[in-house]
Amino acid sequence: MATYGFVYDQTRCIGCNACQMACKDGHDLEAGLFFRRTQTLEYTDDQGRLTIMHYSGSCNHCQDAPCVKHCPTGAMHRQEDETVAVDPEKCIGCGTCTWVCPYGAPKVSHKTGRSMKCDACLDRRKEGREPLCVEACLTHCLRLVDLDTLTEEEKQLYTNTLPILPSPEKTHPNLLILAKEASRG
Amino acid sequence: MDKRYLVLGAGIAGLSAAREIRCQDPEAAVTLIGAESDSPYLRPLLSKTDFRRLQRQKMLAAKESWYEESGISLLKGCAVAAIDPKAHRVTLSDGRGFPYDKCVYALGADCFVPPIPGREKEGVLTLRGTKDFHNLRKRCMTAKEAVLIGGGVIGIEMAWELLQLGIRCTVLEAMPRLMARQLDEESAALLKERITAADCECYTGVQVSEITGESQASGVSLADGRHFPADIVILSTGTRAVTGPAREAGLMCERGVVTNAELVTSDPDILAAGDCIQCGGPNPGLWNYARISGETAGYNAVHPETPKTFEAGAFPLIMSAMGMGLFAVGNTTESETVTTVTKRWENTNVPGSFRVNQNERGAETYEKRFYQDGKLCGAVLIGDISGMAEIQDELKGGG
Amino acid sequence: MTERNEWQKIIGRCADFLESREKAMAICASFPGFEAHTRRDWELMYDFCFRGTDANFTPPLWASVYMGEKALLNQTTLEIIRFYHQWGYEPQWIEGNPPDYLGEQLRFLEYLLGAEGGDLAARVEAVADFLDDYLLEGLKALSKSLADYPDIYPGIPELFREALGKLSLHEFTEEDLGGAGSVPKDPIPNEEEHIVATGGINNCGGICVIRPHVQENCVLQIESDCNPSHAPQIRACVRGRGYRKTYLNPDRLRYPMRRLGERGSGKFERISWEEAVREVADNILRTGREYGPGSRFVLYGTGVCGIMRPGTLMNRLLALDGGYLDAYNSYSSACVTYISDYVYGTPNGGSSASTQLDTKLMILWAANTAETIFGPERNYYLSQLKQKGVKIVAIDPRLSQTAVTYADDWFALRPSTDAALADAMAYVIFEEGLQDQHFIDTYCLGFDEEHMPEGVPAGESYHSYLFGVKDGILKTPEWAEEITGIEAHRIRALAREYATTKPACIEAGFGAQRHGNGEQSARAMMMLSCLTGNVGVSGGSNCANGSRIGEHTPMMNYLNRMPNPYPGKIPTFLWTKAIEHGTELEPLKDGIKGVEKLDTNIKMLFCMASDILINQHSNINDTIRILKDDHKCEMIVCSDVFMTPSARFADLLLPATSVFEGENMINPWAGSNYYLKHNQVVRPLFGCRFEWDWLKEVAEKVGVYDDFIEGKPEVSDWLKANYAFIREREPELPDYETFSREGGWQFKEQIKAVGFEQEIRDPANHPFPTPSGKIEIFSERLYDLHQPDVAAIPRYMPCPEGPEDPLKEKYPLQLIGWHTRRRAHSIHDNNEWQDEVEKPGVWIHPADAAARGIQDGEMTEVYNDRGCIRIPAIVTQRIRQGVAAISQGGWFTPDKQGTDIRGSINVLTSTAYPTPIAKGNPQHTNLVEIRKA
Repeated sequence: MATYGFVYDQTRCIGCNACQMACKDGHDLEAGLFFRRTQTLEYTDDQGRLTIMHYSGSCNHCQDAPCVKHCPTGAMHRQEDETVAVDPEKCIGCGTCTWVCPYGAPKVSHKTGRSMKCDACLDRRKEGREPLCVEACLTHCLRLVDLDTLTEEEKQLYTNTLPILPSPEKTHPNLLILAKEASRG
Repeated sequence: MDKRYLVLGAGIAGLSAAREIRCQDPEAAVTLIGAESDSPYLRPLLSKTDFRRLQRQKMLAAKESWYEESGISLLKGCAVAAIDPKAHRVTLSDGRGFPYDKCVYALGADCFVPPIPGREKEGVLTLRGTKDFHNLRKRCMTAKEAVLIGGGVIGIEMAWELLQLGIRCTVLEAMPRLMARQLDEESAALLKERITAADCECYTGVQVSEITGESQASGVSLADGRHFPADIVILSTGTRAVTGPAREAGLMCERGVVTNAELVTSDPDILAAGDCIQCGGPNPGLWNYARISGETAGYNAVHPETPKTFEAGAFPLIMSAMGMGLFAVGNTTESETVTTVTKRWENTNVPGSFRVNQNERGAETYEKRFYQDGKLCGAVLIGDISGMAEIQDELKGGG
Repeated sequence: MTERNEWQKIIGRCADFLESREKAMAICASFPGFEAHTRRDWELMYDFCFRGTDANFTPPLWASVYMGEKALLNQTTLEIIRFYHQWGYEPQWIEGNPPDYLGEQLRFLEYLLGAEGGDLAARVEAVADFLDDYLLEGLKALSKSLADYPDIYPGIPELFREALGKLSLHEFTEEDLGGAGSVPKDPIPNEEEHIVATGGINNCGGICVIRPHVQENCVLQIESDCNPSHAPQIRACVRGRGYRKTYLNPDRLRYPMRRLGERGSGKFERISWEEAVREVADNILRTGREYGPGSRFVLYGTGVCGIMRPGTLMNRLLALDGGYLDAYNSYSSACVTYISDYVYGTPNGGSSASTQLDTKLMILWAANTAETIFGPERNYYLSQLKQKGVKIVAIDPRLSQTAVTYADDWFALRPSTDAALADAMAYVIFEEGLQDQHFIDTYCLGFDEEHMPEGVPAGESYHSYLFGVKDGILKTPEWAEEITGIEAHRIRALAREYATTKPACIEAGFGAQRHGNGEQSARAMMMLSCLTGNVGVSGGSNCANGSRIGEHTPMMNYLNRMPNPYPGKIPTFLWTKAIEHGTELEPLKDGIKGVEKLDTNIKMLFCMASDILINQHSNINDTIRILKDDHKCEMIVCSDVFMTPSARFADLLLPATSVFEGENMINPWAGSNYYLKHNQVVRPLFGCRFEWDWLKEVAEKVGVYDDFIEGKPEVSDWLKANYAFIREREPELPDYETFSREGGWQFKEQIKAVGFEQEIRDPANHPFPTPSGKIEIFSERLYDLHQPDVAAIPRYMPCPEGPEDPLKEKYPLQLIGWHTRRRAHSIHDNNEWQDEVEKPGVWIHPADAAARGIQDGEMTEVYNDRGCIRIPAIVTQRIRQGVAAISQGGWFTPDKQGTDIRGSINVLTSTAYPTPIAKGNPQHTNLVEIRKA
């Protein structure tokens, strides 16, 4: 039984938004709705240091996904590879998932009336393709990997959170980030 | 000989029952009969989707091919004329008869139309199924103003959709406050304030006296003399269970079709599920209640010796409309034994935090928690309602 | 003849109205206010509303648009086509409108209602569905849009509103069917979804693989290069990924038009292609006769960078009619390219991107490849350098996207002071004896007194300058700190590190050389590369034009060799001056070449696949002043895909096909280890035509058809013939069919070119093509000009509107305009998905903002004597104090007071000071002030 999650090498991310646009285009998403978002954040950290970093984030297919837990209809469910997806035949657009997700991954589409989010492009992967964002990345810094195949040593290099993200203790995201030491300007 | 199951009503309760029956008995003959001309669809989407994009074929609760693949015979556009529990036979209005071993009665609820003079005029609409929305949408093509009688969740959501079409909206609620069952006075007042701030007029504690106009509705008059012009008048004043065929069949009915905790009616071979039932307490008329009851009834139809109890549970109110979220759960009535803690805070975008998407939540969030004997027993959130997860966990797990 | 029922009449009337202007006029005649306007006025009004001739009005005529997206030929269009096909209806492209055009939808409904027989119940349901799902919304959106149009003639919105009213309130029944005397046809099968190979077309160093999924002429998504055998993969950046939202866009120009009223009014009248062709030809002939060939000028333009390039094709035609005023320089690299001739003898100094992997120290000097994409693999290689632990330094007034990721150190210098930084570094290097003496002795002229040309007085060498021989000023880091704003100790450390790390690379972006003293900034980087012996070394640099890389045979239109009989050339940046004062321009002062004097001002302008006319040239308000007077420039011909700010000023405006609607071939301007072939994805929209196709017709009218086509009448003939030419020189290339089908070719043999490798390895047989055969740090040619603003050596020279200009009293902030990833210059500004990548904003440092009471996100006005821009503030520490930045390319959008509200930086840039040697565009050198709006 596999456990797929994104492995994101933030040290090589150039904040170019190609992943965001490839996903947007491939899923034909309306303005204001993102499955993946790239932002360059600039803020003062809790030690008073100027901090600037690029970040590309999507659904983290969390182990303890609150969206799955709180979905009243069972529409939000785990797929065979542990990634999380919305079943459009069950979703009634109540919006619960959109509020309980600390990452803001799902959003109710005004176009379809239902919650929509990154589903790790399972349909593409079944055809032997990679997710749209992975194939788009200009520096090849994004991968979707069966995290169960990584050794403990490998996992040590990564983190599953950053100061700009909510605490991983809430949802246990299936996300590995090779964290970049932030630019201090 | 394979058992024959008949499910009357192709809403979510009926679909869930049919699905579960097939799951539990792969060989049986399953027939699903619905009065609407569409295959079962996701009714709640009707008040949440951009009207331009609303298409019948895109809202299905199961692919068209699924029925055949699952060996479920789906009859659309068929009304039930009579049920004969002794003969174990259902007759449709076109004369066809269907024998059954077990029957699930899931005929749902119709919109309650209060006896307001003028309600038969053109432009007065109730909202229930795709046919209603077809009529509503067509009216929206030329309408400039709408009055919605009834300020429940669906009414507010509809008003929000109409506002986005550029139609001016007024919501009229008879009760002294909005959503009186789920919200206390203070919360309901805040809700009304924020609805009004979203450019939707809202009046509570008003009595509608007449729908004015000639053959076309032209507006709504109140008992106190006020008049609101309208091209469309939408009645969202609650629903009434469809109990006609059940009564005529001699089944016990009160406000709905009475069932025991295992969803069996007064006839051992007829179960009931969905908006039409009365199982213990009041029927909230919610999608999830219908879905779970349908699934349970389906299971119990196949396993009458080892039935499951229908867990009604607590169904929170949740709404995302008018530029904010609304959440209410549990006991929200202040009293001597129930105390409250209220908090308000600004919704700010923290520069050092990342989100993929952000819901509209307005400038401020309001939270009111209700405690009984020191334990959380209910809550209301207006604005950013992401705190709902924690509240629900606390209610379930305690502490 | 069966009677059409009431419904069919209503539907048919609206369908007729939308079908053609002629049919519409018959209907307008029945409107109550018909007599209030002339027939011609009604025709103009019709075209304003329905044929795109009013630049300010685009009603939602297609379902793809009125369903809520800014797109054409998308998923919604496909759904409607499928609906049509289900009912046996093959849609027409009425006057080139996509099949979800409301007029065509009405025709379909006519057919669906009017047919006799078949499954009536199903057909009634289909009628209801089609109305509900698509058509009623279209009538609603259109009638509202028409009613809101300020100049609308009564009757027009009412036609659609009444139809909407009646159709929306009627429940169709089987009784309503029939009357057309036809039977419903059998369903038509839908085309399969398939992928077409094409590529990027914009001005790009990393021109990318673009693979649209298309079905029934609808583009559903775009994929890019994920071919595992490609090394590197030629992946599309954010721009390429958003191509379909840009090019299949309701803003498209639709039919040939002629200006109405003043230039720039935005109102046009529709003309036929015959008329357009005739007028272009007539004006070419007229201006040639009246003023001479030098009165015709084709503006620089890079909207289409394939080998069939509109502006170049127009030049070809003009060359056959006596010639045209030519131009030299680009807007991208005028200074570095021009001055490279003086230093190296050629600008062709680029090295392959893979050489970056050999460097031990990377200095990104005004280089921002994360956004500009200076080559498809450059970012990937930079990331590998980072992984190897190679130090990367950014020199840039802004902490760019590239710098955020890669820079270990950021030198935020004042704009235009780059040469001062370099001078101080050179000073340290010489002082501490860290120079590569062997290199400068062997290959260079002018570094020191011992290596100077004969006859030049003492004290003119670069070393003498650094050590204050003539001016008494030592060019120390302390001296440079005053000018650049960078602390002396950091300059010192950088100099040492650069000089002692071998090899070290200065990656020279084009930003520093696009200043008022751009030649000096460019030379400064060349000087440092030489001083440290990094020229001709893989992993080093030479800082000539880094995009000119000698790998495989560049993909060019080799067969388009049409010499220009008229010898005169102006610097490309001086075209507005050449309109007003062409005959007064001088060779030395203004850079006229080929003739001593222009015998005419520019009288006819061509702006083809270009937005230079207004948006991308400096000092927009002044250009408008010049162009508004049509006695000065008498004729402006534009061809483009959109109503850009430039297109608005055309006299003749011709709609072009986009990259999706035709064929072409291309390679990136930074390298030639791969080529791309553009194959046609969808049929041309509206009345759009690729320039070649109508230029042929102009050629015929001008009388030069045979010479113009030279035996190759079609675009594909040129592509094939050029491919054959290149294939002769590149044996690895496959046959044309394979090349075409694959969408291009990536060479298996990837040449790793190192700029000037031969010249360094074997100087005796490969001298530099300079007069001395050496790298001329001191240029005698420049020295001999004896001009005060022209330096013979790469020294820092302050320039107008630089940090030392007294104008700073009034306008204290230096404004630069970086190249953002969400546009390619001005292309993609009208793409709604790109607005989610970056919105307009002016970067301002917190101290500067606080001093002006400006908060982050607040609306501000950025202004100087040339104009004003209203734009939100982005308060950030990613920019140097005293500097502001607005990304260039935003479309000039003036409000009623003439204030730009989109962020078009050229409202604030200047044409008064072309750079002294190259006469290039100093578009980053601007002084402004900012206030709260």
